[in-house]
Amino acid sequence: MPTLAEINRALNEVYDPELDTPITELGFVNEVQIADGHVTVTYTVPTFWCAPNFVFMMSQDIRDEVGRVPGVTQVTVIVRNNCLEDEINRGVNAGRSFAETFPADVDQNADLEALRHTFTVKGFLARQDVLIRRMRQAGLADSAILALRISDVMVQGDDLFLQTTPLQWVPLAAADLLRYLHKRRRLQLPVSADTPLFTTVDGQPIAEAELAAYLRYSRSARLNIAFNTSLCEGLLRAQFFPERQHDYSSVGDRLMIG
Amino acid sequence: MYRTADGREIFVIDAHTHLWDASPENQRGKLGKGWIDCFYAYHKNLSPPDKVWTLEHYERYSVEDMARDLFVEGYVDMCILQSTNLFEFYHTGFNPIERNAQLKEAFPERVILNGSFDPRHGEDGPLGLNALRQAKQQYGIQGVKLYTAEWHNGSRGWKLNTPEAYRFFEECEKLGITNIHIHKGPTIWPLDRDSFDVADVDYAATDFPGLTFIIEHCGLPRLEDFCWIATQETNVWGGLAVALPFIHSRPRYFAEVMANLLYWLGPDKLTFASDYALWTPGWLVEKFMAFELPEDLEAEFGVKLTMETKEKILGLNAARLYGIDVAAKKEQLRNMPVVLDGAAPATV
Repeated sequence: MPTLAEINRALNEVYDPELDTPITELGFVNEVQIADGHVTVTYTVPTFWCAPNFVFMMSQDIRDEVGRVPGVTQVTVIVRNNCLEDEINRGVNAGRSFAETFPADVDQNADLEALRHTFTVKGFLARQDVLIRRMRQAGLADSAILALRISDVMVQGDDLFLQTTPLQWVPLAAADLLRYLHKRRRLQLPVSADTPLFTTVDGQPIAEAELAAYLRYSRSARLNIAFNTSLCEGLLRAQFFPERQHDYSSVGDRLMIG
Repeated sequence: MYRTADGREIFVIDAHTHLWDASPENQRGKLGKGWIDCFYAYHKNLSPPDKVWTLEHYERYSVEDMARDLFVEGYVDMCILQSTNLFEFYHTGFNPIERNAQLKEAFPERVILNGSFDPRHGEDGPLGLNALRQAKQQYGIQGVKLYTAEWHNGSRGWKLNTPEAYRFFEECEKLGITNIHIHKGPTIWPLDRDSFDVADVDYAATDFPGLTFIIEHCGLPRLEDFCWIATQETNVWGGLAVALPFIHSRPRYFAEVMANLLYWLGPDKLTFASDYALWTPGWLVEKFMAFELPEDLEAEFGVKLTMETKEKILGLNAARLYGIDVAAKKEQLRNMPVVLDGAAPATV
């Protein structure tokens, strides 16, 4: 029989695609029930009007991730607080695709992967933007930042050390580096030692002359994710966690560096 | 009117307000309940604790409540009422133009009444072309509010850049309805796309340069895409509803949003809005007047939130859109204090 810890680990890999954050960190997951090999996951989205395509993706990802845990023979996913929850629950638990679940609302050739990719790219830009800003704040010149290779960067506790001349210390950036590399892997971008640390989402180098314009967009993508994350967490708390009604902290805060 | 400590009189237009009825008697099942419960969560989460209403009051408030919250306690000189219909969620609609008109009738000099249309209604539907012409004739509307995520006859959303929608924009041009306020809700059709996508605004704004497109919530939750479009298109503006209440709960987020908007759009295409009754304007005006952009953002973006900019956002920009002579209006309203006595609102 799978353990709760194993199921929770699997759920940590399920992201709200729009918020670029695991549903476990967002507080969406209400309950995990394990009965022999049958796992039932119940979760709540922050509003009745959360876009059903994103909700469908999360339900399907829960099903897939939990289904991969050894010993799991059946997965039931129940989402609450959404205008199309009945359709989504029925479709996902019957193993139907998105297009099969909503035949009237989508082109039958459509899948959600293009939509997912759009938001994975925004997540990539946001995570990259944080890391570049940490390095700028530590005093690195743009030319030095863009010249970094992955092997130049070492994690030291919460901080980063850069094997540059002179050696450079970047405080509190270790988690940001790991989050950025995690996203590079998801996008199947190279993470080998001699790869430039910072590339475009297509793996191309970023020219120093273009960096300002590049960061102008990535900065607003980063702010947008942080804003939406804090809004969604707040809406969830207002409805379901009255004791945290005026708790304004947010996991989106890690994207806010000023 | 907001008066600064040094006596400056700031003219305030609340550019996005509603007089809604979401009471249980008007709700059509779980959709109507789900709608107002979601609004109430926004209200509860982002209002200061002493500004939170009861759900019962939030579901339905009176003309007098609204007049007090805006004109007496909210510093608001004029408001723009934006009609949102939601006939599939509420028996008599959420705040259709007929309901909003009650405030206009009570305070004709303080209220700008906007209509709406829905291209799926064709020629003769309740939100069709004839109804639009009728609204122009009856109320003299200068603007419409469009909600692209409205459910209608099995359809769960529409786009601005279709031939059907363009017929309505052409009619707006003909009728002199030049201010198109757009609320991008989560359009459910087509479901495989980004439901908050603002790209269709770009097409419509390019093809109808004589119309101004005011994107409510500044395109949130797609701020980055909105800023890009609004920079390219001179006739795309941003309404500050939803972003503003962050000024209380998460001022740094608000500051970053403002810095982005001032950088991309500049100070002349932004309008103040409480989204009443999502929030009440009084505390928003006070906090906005007291707000200063942090120095690091001023330096990074090269923008400033000066008194002149605040004055534009709070009223002068919307006045320009709606052809209000601010000096004359100030003078007129000075002689028209709002007096509320008991149940019946009255102007004196």
